Amino acid sequence: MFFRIVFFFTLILSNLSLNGQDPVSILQKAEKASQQIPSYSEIEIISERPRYSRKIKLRNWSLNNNYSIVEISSPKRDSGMVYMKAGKKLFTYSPKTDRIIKLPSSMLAQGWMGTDAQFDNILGAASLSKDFNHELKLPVDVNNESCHFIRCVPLPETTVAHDHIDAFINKQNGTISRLEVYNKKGALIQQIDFLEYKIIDGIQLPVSLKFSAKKGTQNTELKILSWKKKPDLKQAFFTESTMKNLGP
Amino acid sequence: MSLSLTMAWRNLGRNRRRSAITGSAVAFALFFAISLRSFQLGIYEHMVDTLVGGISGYIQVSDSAYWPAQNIDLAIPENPQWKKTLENDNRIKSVRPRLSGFALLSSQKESSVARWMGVDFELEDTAFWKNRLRSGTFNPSLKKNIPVWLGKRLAEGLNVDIGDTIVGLGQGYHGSMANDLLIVAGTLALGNPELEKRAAVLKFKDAQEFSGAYGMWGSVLITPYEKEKSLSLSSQLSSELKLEGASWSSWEERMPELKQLIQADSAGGVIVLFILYTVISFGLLGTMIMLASERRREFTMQIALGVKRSILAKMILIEAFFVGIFGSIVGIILGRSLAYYLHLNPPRLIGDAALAMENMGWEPILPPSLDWSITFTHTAIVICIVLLVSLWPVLTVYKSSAINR
Repeated sequence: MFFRIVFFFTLILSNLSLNGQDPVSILQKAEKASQQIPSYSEIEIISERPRYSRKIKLRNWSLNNNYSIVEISSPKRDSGMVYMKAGKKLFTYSPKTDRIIKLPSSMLAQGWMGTDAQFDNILGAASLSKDFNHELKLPVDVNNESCHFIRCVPLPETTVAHDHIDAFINKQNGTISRLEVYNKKGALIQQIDFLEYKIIDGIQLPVSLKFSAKKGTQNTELKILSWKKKPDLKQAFFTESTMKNLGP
Repeated sequence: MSLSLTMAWRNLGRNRRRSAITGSAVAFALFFAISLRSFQLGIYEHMVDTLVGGISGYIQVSDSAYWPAQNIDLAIPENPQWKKTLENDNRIKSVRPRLSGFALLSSQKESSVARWMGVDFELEDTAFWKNRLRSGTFNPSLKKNIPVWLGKRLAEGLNVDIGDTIVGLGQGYHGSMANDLLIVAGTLALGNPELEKRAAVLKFKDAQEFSGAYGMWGSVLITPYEKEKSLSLSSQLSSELKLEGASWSSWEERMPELKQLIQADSAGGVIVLFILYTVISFGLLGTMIMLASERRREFTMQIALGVKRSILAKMILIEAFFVGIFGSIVGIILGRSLAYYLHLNPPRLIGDAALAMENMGWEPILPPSLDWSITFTHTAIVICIVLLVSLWPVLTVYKSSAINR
């Protein structure tokens, strides 16, 4: 009996690799489609709550997943607030108090500015293809598209607070359709749907994302209003003095 | 004046020592009852006042989901018209909107979590806040920055003094940031060590600005004239003066543990009073038995002369009533003056007892209550006892025969 099961699994696994369905390469391809290019973008975030909805506009300078600056440009009350991720450090600057505060990096996994997006989502997350172990599961349909289902379990050295992330990758164009983030108790804490992809500046980008939490009772929509490559962006840009002097 | 009244009045003066002894027993009983109860109820009032009156309100109106999390996102929109109707209600002493939330306050290297509270000083009981101001002023001359009054222990913890700048950072209204520079304008002694460690008071408008909750009330505190009726008044008002989406609660509903503590403790006091009254009753009964046997011959003679027994009985009851009244007046004067004196100069506990009280959350003083209902209740009880024991001589009157002796 035991051998029969082993044989059966071996058959499945070999079958998968025969099809060239290596999860790492699928994820690499999917991730290539976003984020890893030095860029400047303007983003709009709308968070829907049972009692209210709130609209924020951001400006974002991003070098890669580890270096990123976000400045809030609207609403007026919060405009000028700056968040920066530089390596593993996280800072925030408020023009009202003219102080830079270093935030604990555990905050990366917490809700950002009252939205369902986490710091991680806004300031660049760990790489799914590099920082996780992968397990390919049977394909499923997500948002009416047939998708690969890959369970990503973080490597011990990866600094994320999740238990695992389920990634759903569109079979046709190889882009991410949905990410489901589970906590250590096995509960779904965040779901990210990639609703729309566009080719801007020659790069295919997700331009409309939807973050849902608390079983869909609240959600946040993130839209990229404009995006452009910024090849001249260097790591040296991501300093505390830049945070204070971003300019208009 | 009727015959029995005249006779009763004269009888009181006939044996002054006897009247004085009976009267002083009454006075003594009442004095003890009043001071004991004033102390006990006074401590409860003090407890409730520090924990409820100034901070969370005898009656509180807030969003139905506001308790117990007290999330600033659940603030209610300002409604000046509704507030005006409340203020014009003759059962309500004051109406004070509040807005509060949590923030991290930091100064130099020290930082501390604080609960900030927006307080409209113009609507508040000025004496309440003036008494609590330890240093600084309520009218700082600041142009741009937000003044803040810190609980004195919070100020010590942050190591700040008047005029120092602190940074506040916390959750604001509906996802915005509560982030600004605050200037320390004063420190407050709030009578509750836990509050003093955590409270940061802002002006109401500043609190709205600080949190971004423009035009919002976090909760509305209502102080009724009759504080002890908060519970019934709260449900009464909630149907009379509805506010959309808001619910009313009295402090008993929000802090049932405090209410229960008071009830349990109060029962102990009632037992002590019961013992006191039992002892006093037997003392009074003794004087009454003495009175009856002393005056037996007098009664017999009067009956022989043709005075009706009922007139004599009435006379005795009136005598007892007078003695009770005089004794009560003396007892009230003594008891009330002691309570009043100690209310002005409340005894302060020291040592471990004081520490225990502070840890439980209130200033270690014992201010007696000045509630007149204590006086009236116990005067009534004492006079009833006097009338009850005077039934003994009344019985004697009916039992004495006219021809014996």
